[in-house]
Amino acid sequence: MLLPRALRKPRVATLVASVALATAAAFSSESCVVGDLGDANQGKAKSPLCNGTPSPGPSPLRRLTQTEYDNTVRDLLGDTTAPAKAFPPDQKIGAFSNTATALTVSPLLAQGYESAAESLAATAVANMKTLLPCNPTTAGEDACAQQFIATFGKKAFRRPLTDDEKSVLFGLYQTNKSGADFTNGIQAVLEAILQSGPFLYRPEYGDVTKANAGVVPLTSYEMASRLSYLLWGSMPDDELMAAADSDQLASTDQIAAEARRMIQDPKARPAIEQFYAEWLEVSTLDGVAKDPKTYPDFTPSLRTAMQEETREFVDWVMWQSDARLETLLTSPTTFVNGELAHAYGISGVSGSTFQQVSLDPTQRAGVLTEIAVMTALGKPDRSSPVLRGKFVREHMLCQTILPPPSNVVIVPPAVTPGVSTREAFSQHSTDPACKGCHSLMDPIGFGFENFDGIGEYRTSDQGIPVDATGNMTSSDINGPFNGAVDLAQKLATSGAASDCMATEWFRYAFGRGDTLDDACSLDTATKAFDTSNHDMRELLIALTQTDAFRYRVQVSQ
Amino acid sequence: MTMKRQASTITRRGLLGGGVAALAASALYPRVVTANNTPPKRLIVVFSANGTIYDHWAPSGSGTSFTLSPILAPLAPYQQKLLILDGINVQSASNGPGDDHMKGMGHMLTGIELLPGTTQGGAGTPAGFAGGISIDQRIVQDIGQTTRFPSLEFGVMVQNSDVWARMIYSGANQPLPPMEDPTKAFIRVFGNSNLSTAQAAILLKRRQSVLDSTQVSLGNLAKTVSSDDAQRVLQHQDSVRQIEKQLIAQTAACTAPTVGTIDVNNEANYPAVGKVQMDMLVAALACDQTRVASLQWSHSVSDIPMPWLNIGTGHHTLSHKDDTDTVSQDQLVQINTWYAQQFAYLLGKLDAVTETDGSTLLDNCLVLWINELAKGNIHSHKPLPVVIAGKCSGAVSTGKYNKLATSVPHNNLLVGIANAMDVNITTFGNPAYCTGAFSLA
Repeated sequence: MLLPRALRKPRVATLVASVALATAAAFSSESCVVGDLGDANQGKAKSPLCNGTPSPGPSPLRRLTQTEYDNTVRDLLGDTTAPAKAFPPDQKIGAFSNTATALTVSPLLAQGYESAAESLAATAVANMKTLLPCNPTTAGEDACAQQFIATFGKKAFRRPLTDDEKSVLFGLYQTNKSGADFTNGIQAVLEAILQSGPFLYRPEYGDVTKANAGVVPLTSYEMASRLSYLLWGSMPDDELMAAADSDQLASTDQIAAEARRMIQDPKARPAIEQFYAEWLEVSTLDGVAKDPKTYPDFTPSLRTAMQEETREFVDWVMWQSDARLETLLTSPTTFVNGELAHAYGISGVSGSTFQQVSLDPTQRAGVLTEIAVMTALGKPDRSSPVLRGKFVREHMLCQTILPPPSNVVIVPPAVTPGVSTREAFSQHSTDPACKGCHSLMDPIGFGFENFDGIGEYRTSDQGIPVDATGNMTSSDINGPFNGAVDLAQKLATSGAASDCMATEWFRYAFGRGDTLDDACSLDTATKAFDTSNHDMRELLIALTQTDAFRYRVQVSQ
Repeated sequence: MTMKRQASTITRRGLLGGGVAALAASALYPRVVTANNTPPKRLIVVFSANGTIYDHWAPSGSGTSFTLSPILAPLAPYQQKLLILDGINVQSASNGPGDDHMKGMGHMLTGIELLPGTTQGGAGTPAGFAGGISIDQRIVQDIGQTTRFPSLEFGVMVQNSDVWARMIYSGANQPLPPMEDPTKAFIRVFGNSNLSTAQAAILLKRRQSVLDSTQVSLGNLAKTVSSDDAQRVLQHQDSVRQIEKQLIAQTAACTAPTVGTIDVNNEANYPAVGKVQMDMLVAALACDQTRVASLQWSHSVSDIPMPWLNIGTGHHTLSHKDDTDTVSQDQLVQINTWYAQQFAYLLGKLDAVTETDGSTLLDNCLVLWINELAKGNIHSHKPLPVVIAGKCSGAVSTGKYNKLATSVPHNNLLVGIANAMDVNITTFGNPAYCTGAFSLA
């Protein structure tokens, strides 16, 4: 049964209660999944979710992620050293590394900010002529410092500085010029700006003069930052700041026009690729180890190459092909270097340069069968029907598989010569303690059995011919399927899968889970996604048109 | 990351680059003493994952008359400096959100439920990070103010940054990440600069004034955002306060360890990274850069294979194997024995440092080796394999295998550890799981 979109349970908000319910019940397949089940088309009732009163949902304070920090200092200072690579990794909640409430600042990170600020400032003041908007010799050192604080500060804070902020920074300049020199004063100002609240965070207060029932529209400066961090993972450019200066980022049309310009800019590519790398769990490959005896091909260079392949493919879908979800899910096109071509069993490609190839369409289709994805969803010494089935349920259909009770003894079968993975995991279909939930995962995951733990194609497993038949249930694409290519084709027709794409992008865009208050925003986005024939660039534009993007709840302390 | 770094004597000039103002040059370990002229107590927490194999872990015998098990055999040289606890129960882990690895990891040092959240584990309800401060950081509140670093967290290929990978917390939802790259850790702790005295003075003044202005800026931000957001900004301010303290002068001087060329992204270097991290940890204590430190091997649910032991299957995968699978059980014994060898290496380094009164650094340490689970394949939390090493300046009675007749909630142990470190608390974590102090005396 599928509820109208308005009534469906947002995953995050209701999961705890649902788990409690499921635990009380027997573990039948219906009781261990949360999310949309059944025919998604039934849900397209387009009920009047948007009632004219903006409903933005929560707007937690966003801190720059590691990637955003590196991109921002690149655009602010022209520094491409990516100093945030040295920071401790951003705390992760769920698949995405940009969840606002998880991004706290530990002493180690504060130390990282200090070291990065010092090294960035030292580089910047070594080329004072480029850095300063004035000549300290002719304009006077102090006057030039004041000018620098105002102009550089505005770029760094992504809004004009207050008089208080200017005077604190000028005082800092004077303190550090004294006993040293002008350069040391400027260096201090730079270091302070790079460690300040308005630089490291994206505070938003909205235009309080337009408050209505506790909801405020964002100011044009705040909107400029929302757009630039969504689409570029970086600070606004001059054009965006000029639009903000003249308050031209208020209407949906103005916002859409900027978003359309920005999505064509090369800076959009890595920002958008990062979403896909996290959504597909390819970003987790950095920490993945495989058994060198089982998988001697799995070298650090192959690991790097497979991550690059995902980037190149996403890039091609989004900007060279048609940007459609169906293409992402089914295209046999990909990009390989010599080592990766070997892993795919393609001849004629050698060296480290990536080139476009067409994979055997009977074996491979889109992201799901990519070597990177299959490796991330594999064990060190075997494939994993469970991880793969769970991934399809959770990331492709936005269902959550509820866990077994913690007193269940979980014994994954050993890798045994002469016993295929499929056979080894068949216990799940007979053991009553397992089969309820595993019947939702394993029959999907078995469809990927042509891919071993590092995504290489195989027709036999432990000497047994591979059986890659699968079965999909509790979805709008129910029924048997034969292999991952068949499954990918089915997912490409699934309304639940396209709705899920919109939901996952929503969560990533806002750095939080979706809530009941987001019903109108999600509806706006999914309708536009449907109307555009599942063009993912259009989905991103649509996200900028939502209440969640344009408004916030007024800050109360 | 590859970088060659030689052993060097820490000098005033050298350390300034890392943020310390004044150190006298000396090639010797320092004579570290407290106000009453005795060596200070230090706390070290060591973590390894996925539980143990009890029958091969538990010593035979009891009390002061016991024989070390196969897994703990590498600790034989230090048997008289060990207190092995058999019967500690992480009772809190029967409660609250999270799967058993998440709970084990997050409760282990905090004794309190995880926060509700959105990270879905292999079982249980979704969780956030830990719901309270960890015991080492509680101890830091009392004894961490006199050293340059209140505490130092070292990690060995922790790699992840989620609730499974964090054990140290400065408060609820405030995980402290470990330093994973030995080269960066070296620079942070032992400095990396060659500045003249005049240049150093200018740098120090600039750092102090910049951090002052950072505090003003964060303070203004905290005042204008919602109270939920302000919590995170206030924590950021606390973190900045800590690095401000690192600018304060210390008087000790000592020898920095050697950090060789290590690629921290290559799992084959797991043992090598671990060794150099332990070297730095010991030097940081010997140099009195901190008195509280931790070493985290990988993370809970660690699936690292150990090809140097000829074990290709990941540790976590093995830990799920049935008790009757003798090959896997044997490999798990080998893995846990390997961790014991690493622990022995750490104890050896600590025992090789002589303090002012002729005791060794180990004698003045409380080294706690702990795990997020008791038994991997059933995800149990009792009896937690707990090994304590070092007499903690006489506060811990060692040379003992304490096989407890009835299990003790681990919150009690955390209180006992705090008391041994002269932190006088009577309860810790969620008081519902704490029935008093478990004395280590």
